[in-house]
Amino acid sequence: MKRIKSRDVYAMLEYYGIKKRINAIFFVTEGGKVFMIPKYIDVPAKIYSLGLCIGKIEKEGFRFTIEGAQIFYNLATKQILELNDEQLYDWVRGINTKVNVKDGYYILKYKDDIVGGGKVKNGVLWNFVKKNRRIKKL
Amino acid sequence: MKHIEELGYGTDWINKRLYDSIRVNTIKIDPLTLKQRLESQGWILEQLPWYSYGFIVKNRTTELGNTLEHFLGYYYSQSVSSMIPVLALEPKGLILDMAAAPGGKTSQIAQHSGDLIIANDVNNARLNILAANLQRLGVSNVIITRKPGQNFHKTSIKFDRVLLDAPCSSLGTAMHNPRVLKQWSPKFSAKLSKLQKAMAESAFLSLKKGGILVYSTCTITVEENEEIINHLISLGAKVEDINLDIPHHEGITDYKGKHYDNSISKCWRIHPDDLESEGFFIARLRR
Repeated sequence: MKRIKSRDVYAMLEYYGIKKRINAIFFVTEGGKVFMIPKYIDVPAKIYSLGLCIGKIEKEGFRFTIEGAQIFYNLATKQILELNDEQLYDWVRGINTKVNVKDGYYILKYKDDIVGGGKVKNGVLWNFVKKNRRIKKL
Repeated sequence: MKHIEELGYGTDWINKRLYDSIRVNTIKIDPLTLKQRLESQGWILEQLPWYSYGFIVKNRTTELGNTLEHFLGYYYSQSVSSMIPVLALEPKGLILDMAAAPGGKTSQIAQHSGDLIIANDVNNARLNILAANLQRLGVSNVIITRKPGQNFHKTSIKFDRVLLDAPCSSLGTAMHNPRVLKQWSPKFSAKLSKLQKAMAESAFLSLKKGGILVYSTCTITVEENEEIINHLISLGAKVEDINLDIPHHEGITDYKGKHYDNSISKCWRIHPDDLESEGFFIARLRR
């Protein structure tokens, strides 16, 4: 895991219309996962993880995690996708679901809740909810 | 069972069915909003009189982990007694949670303090669970480390607060985990006591001067509780009062012909009947 400049992170977040900054330090893994921590010290121990994973840098853009979407939603002005009951039900169960928006990355909203960050391709919202977090039946 | 009765706990509680309880994750939602949401789905929640984030679940319509609210990280399933150590810690400054997995107390610390937390554990499988829980609960002010707790003092960092919720024989959880009664033996407690002593010593030595250590377990044996605190006192630790208005019993100072430091009476033993929850031991010490 290595430091990544805030300006590089916010350059990616501009896609969501995010201009205002949160005071934090960012790290990125080799796999492109971005972690955010309000402050950092060197700890002479094996670091397993640090801060909160807010998203992943992918080939075509930045995809928020559920927590990343919840934190940055208030700062975002675009790329927000409202899910209906059926789509939410698929989302929490880890199932890809059909949506009617153009390709891209979205912050997913259901009623008043921010439920994640997703990628849409060819009318399908790809599901990235981890297996251990999925709900079998709502 | 004899060892449980000797400590004055009785045994009726072992067969008691307890209500579930949850802690509202105020990093993401406020207690009233969550209560209203869950109650609109048929749940009945009773707020703890001494902790506004804690609720007893008197009725629920599905499993605790099977709601949208749980999926979104709005609450954490946590026993009532296990919410107390973090309150006794009064977290602030640089904080070490030495045996942090599965992360319930770490996330509770994060609710009460935005300061940096080092959440440590030693086993990869447990660290995975810890990381997943802290992610779901939206905890950002944390560095997760992997190091045997008993060696943590060898790092150069000194902490304002250390929580050691030590690995233990878990006898206080016998009501929903009866196998702990079968696996318990004096030898088992003695083995754990040795590890706990080493971890507690390291936790104490990891404190800044004037820093606070909270030592807790979910077991009831003296060997894993008062014995450890007595050892810390011999290293210069001062036992402090826990200034919370919660039903409890005092720490034991005389046991099987052995006398422990009188200040150990300031430690808390939570009997299952005190809170209709797990048995717990909590001590607050200052370096």
